[in-house]
Amino acid sequence: MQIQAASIGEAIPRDNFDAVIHNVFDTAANLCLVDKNRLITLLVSDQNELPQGIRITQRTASLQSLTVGLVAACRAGVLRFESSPLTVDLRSAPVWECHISELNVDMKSASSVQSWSRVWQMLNSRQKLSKAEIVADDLFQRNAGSLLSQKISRPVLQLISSTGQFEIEKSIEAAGKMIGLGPGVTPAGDDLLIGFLAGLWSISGKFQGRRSFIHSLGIRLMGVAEQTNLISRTYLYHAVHGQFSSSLTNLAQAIALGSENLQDMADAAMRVGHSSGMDSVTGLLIGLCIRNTELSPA
Amino acid sequence: MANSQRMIKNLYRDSVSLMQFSEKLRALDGIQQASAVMATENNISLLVEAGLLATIVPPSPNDLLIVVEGEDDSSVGAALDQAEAMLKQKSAETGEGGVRRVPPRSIEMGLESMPAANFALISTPGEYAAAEARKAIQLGLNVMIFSDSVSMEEEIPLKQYAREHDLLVMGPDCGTAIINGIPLGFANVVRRGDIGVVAASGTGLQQVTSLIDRFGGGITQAIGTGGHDLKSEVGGITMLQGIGALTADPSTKIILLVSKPPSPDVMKNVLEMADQSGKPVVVDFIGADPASITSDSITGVRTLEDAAKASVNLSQGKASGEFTGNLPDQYINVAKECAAKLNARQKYIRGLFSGGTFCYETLLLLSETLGIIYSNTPIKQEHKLEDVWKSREHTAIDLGDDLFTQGRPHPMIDFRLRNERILDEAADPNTALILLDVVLGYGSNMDPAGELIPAIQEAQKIAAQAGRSVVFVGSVCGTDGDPQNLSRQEALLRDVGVILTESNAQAARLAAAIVNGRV
Repeated sequence: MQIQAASIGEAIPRDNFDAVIHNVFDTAANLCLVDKNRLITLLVSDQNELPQGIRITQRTASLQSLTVGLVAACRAGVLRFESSPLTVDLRSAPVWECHISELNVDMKSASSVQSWSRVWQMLNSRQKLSKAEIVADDLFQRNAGSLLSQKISRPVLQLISSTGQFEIEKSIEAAGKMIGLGPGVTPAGDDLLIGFLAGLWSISGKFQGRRSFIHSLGIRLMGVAEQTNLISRTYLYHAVHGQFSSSLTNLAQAIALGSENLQDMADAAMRVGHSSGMDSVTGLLIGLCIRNTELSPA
Repeated sequence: MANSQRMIKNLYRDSVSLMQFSEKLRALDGIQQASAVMATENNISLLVEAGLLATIVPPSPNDLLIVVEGEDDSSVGAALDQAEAMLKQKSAETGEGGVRRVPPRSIEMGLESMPAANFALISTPGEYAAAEARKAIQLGLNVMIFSDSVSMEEEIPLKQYAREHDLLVMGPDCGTAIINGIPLGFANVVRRGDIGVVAASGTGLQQVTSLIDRFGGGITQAIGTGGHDLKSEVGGITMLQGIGALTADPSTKIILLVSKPPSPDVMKNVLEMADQSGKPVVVDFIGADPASITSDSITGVRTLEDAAKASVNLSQGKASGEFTGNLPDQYINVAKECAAKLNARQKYIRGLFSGGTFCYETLLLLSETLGIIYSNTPIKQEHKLEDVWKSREHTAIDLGDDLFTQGRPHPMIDFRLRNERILDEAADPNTALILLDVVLGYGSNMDPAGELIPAIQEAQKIAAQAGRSVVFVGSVCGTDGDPQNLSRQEALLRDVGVILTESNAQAARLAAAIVNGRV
């Protein structure tokens, strides 16, 4: 069965590549690029994009013929899988690019602040309703919420402070306490960090100081990222390069613009996974609020 | 209270699944707490802090850590066993990683795994074959197109393009070739020698190569051209390239060409090139007058058998030979005995062929002595059967014709249609003789005799019940090196009374002699 990819993310190799099927979920399969130690994701979705994603639509595909450990190969733009009839044609698929670093969200603007507040309320309501282990409000209160919330609260506060001061070492120390922490295939701490980076990129604008800091933080973060699993590490890898999912990017954009469809964007971002989406949105909202002591537009 | 943990390697579950999984564990008898998380350093530390894990265990972030707390060791152990079983049951796909090469699924991938390859065999539905062939040629490969249903409009530019790049396109609809000793498609295991063959006919090529082997010779290369190649529009591109290749090949001492008569312009070019090869050339343009072909360097022959015999004679340093077309002596008495068994109404031959060229050669040979032979593929259109499912007078049917193969395998593989027809012919009081071909080799049925014998015996029974006997005559195309083994197949068929000759041409002549009641 040859199907046409609906889109491919900017991080998908354009040349021939070989990969091993790393894991298969109902609507996504991760392929580990040989010699690169990072994943690309074959994603069944009508709209969600990933920087490392090859998106195929709900109507055309099933991933159940893919087997973990078997190999995949892309030649001349056609991706084929060992022992599977599935073949994905990437050749004419449009390339999706994440432009979060160009958003230049101004958190002093009334509309952005208002949008941020609405999303924060939605987020907390949803987290409480779904009995999520992390509730955003709890992170800012002493000994509130679950053990996980309490454990992650301190590094989050440290990260906010050290990032505001452009302090790499303390930021990395905080991130190190978050990475790989929490349930799920992408642990909550990782999701929160990814969202936090999305927030930082969204407000980086033309401020050279912020961009330099994110760059330096990213390099160090990838060293610490060895503490988590490959799926999470791949998301972190793209996050430090300013590449995020479309759902998170769209929400950041909606906050930047004060969009009417803010609620839809927030819903879409929070719906990802069991709690991953909510954790990422928590990180995004926190990252958007970082106030730096010294800002100098480049 | 007891607790314990287990690590499951390289196992990934989405968050929802892991939550549900943990809940299932907690619901087990004697279990108070359970958690399934990725075994990261921070998670391990959290579990220790929560009292679920007694001590720090080494982190392993890509593995799943299951921790269970229960009433006693036995409930905890049972829960962990059950947890692992549940995960593994759902995870038949779990593998240990490692990189293996993906089996090639495109020509480019095939070439990547075998960079020295210079040849691709294309066997796809016809509509895709030309595109795949072009890809192969562009990658610098010679091509054999096994697929049929490729139009001449596609074939011509493909062959021209390949020729410009000094590459060969065999086909489309090239069912047989032997390249560097490797049988391709429907082909036989033939001794290697010094005879190079270029043929526009699949079963024609199989017959000449098998007979060369039978007569003690061997081949260098057997190149198929496809059936359209010698038409004026294509210009015999592959045949001419094949002659050129065999001319340049020092191992090839004799060149043998097989085809239905080409278009006159193509024939002229082919014969000119053959003449210029500097090597003895044997030509069977099936149906053409051998005298119109023969020259100092070219021996024209009438049958595939003669072509093989002449080639072997030349290969052995003898003269090509004289071919009279007479029935060999050993069959004269056989013909008389068989003719004596027929009653007055039994006048007709019913030829049921799986090889198109065998049918065509039979039509030519029978018509020389018996006149009109009806067929689905007649020599003259006025002798085309109106109803191909019903024979009339002398009839020879090519069961490999598209008409019969739609929705079913080729009759060299699937004998059902031929067997049904054998019974129909046996039930016809006018049938004197059923003439058969049997084709061995790669691609063909692995036990053709075994397929045919029940039908032959049933046919003999039908005829006997009507107070008649039907004669079965045939030939087996193949070699003892074939997977089916020529000697064994012939012995099995002879055991049930089939009279076998060495070649298709001899079988046709014997059949004609029997129904004529004369030799």
